[in-house]
Amino acid sequence: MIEQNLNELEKRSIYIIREAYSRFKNIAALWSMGKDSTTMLYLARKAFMGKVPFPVIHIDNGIDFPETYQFRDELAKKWKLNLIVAKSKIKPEISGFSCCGANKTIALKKVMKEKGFDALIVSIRRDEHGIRAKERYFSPRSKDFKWNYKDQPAELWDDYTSKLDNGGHIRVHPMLDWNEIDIWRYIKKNKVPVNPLYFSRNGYRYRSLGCTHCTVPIKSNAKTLDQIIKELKVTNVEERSGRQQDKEKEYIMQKLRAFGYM
Amino acid sequence: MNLKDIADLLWKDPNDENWSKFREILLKSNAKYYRVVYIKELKNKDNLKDSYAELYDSKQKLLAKIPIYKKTKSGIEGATYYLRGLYNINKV
Repeated sequence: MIEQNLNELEKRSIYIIREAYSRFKNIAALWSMGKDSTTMLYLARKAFMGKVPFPVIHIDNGIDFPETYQFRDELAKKWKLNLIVAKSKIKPEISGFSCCGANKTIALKKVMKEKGFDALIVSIRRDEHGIRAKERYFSPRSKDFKWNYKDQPAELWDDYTSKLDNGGHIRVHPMLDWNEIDIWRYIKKNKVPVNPLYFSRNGYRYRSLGCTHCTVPIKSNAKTLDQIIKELKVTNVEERSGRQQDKEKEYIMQKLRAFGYM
Repeated sequence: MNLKDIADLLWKDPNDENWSKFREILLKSNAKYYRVVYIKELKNKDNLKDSYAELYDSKQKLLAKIPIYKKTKSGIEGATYYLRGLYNINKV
């Protein structure tokens, strides 16, 4: 049953990635070096005979974990990725922990404009956060990156929109249907490379990765993929409990995403 | 020059040249772990100046405290990239 479920998820994600690549002239993917976006890149390689055919963007605020940078450099070389590093600045855009999200959005806007991308693959999942559950597979964004979550295309019978607003772009979400545990089971099954920060050291591990400022580890003794999967089967703790931006007012994520955050 | 010396130099002037020197010394040192400490909320880039990273050896003995920013022509930027190869021991 689990095997069949993983195969279905894989098929659907590959279908969406291929569909997006064929529909848009200039598409790119966001890569945070976390488990979801790395799995998405693995799927993209599978979809296109071992090569990711579009550029991969890392929005870098300069204070990511050293392990994350090392993982990025090694995997980009191994998988021959066309990596674009977009440096983001730290400015008091919204305030507090959310500034990171808002400033990453500014860097993303800049690189999208410079390179003229008309679509962006983002590896969000519906089960991560309430506001992400409202997303479509192909989700239009306006010229100024705004997302109108109250007025979205229906996507009946896999009829995805690729209609662009003047100057806008489409966010493509091939991982929407995956759960956290699906990702880990898939990583285990396919030996997908993974950031070492996810594994426990001294009784702590990172369950969701952001930068060194906004992410804290959780108490965990899971040192292997099997142990992580076992832990997830019984945990009552939310996946993004270590991410500070999610601890602010409940609507902050909704606000950030409406502004164009990933 | 050892880790402490280069740490002092970085606190005085965290420019590109000193960070490159730091990288060379770090790779030859017995540093194994790092911990990033933020004193203030990051409301702007200047708050990075109040933050630092602690470097530890395999027995988790503190070796040096270093800044986590780099001076550039246009201002300052984060510099955790230079700690590649070390393991995180941040706790909640």
